[in-house]
Amino acid sequence: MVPVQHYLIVSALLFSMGATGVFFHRNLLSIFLCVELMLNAVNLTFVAYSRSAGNLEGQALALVVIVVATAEALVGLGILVAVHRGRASLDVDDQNLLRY
Amino acid sequence: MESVVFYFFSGVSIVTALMVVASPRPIYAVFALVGCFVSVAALYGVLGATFLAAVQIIVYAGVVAVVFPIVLVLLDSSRASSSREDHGVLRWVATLAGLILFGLLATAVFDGGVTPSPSPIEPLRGSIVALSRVLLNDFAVPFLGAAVVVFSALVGAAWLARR
Repeated sequence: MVPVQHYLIVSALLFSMGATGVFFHRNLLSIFLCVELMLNAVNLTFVAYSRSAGNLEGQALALVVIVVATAEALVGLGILVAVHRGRASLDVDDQNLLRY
Repeated sequence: MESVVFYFFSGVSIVTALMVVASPRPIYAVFALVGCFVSVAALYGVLGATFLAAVQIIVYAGVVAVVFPIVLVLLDSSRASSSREDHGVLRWVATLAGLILFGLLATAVFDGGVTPSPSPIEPLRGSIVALSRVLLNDFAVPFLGAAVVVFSALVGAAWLARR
């Protein structure tokens, strides 16, 4: 039986890889994909702890997170299409309407 | 058997996650992300969360596999793959920051007093019967709140994409 720490290590690795991608990507779509990766890593942590604790509340919470992440993907892609239509660039350095 | 499946799919998920982060073109990253989601779903199955594994594949990998390529088709591909991705120094700084973050998380995992699993969960515990019992009693408010979030996200996405 695999100890729960190994699941948590895999999850931490996925999360920090997603964070690295968010740090260095300049393209909105790539950043978005990396955010999805981070959400997925957190879900893996929930499920692993759910099994470690011996109850199902982590799985229920992971299900809620999946639903919210799907909604986030929809809204984020809508924003992305709107940005692409209005600003003609998906580079985050060009998005400065809220900067000042 | 469980450990073989676990190590295989965790390796697949890590490699595909690396492809998501490192690939310069978003379309390759999208397909790598689908592979990562499917292998994480296999990890859910190893953990006994079979219903969650099915939801992960159907809802999550389905959304990514369908919606993201549609958006990529809608966008102008020459501008969608950014030309300014080649910051050499920034890439190394970001990698260093990611390694530091991973080090902190790994320290927390090994020093955080995670109690080892008291007893393996019987297979029924991950099934939809047991999960729905939790979801509709203790988690009724977050469950209904998620429904409200999905509805408002639908309205918001339709409003954003109008014209």
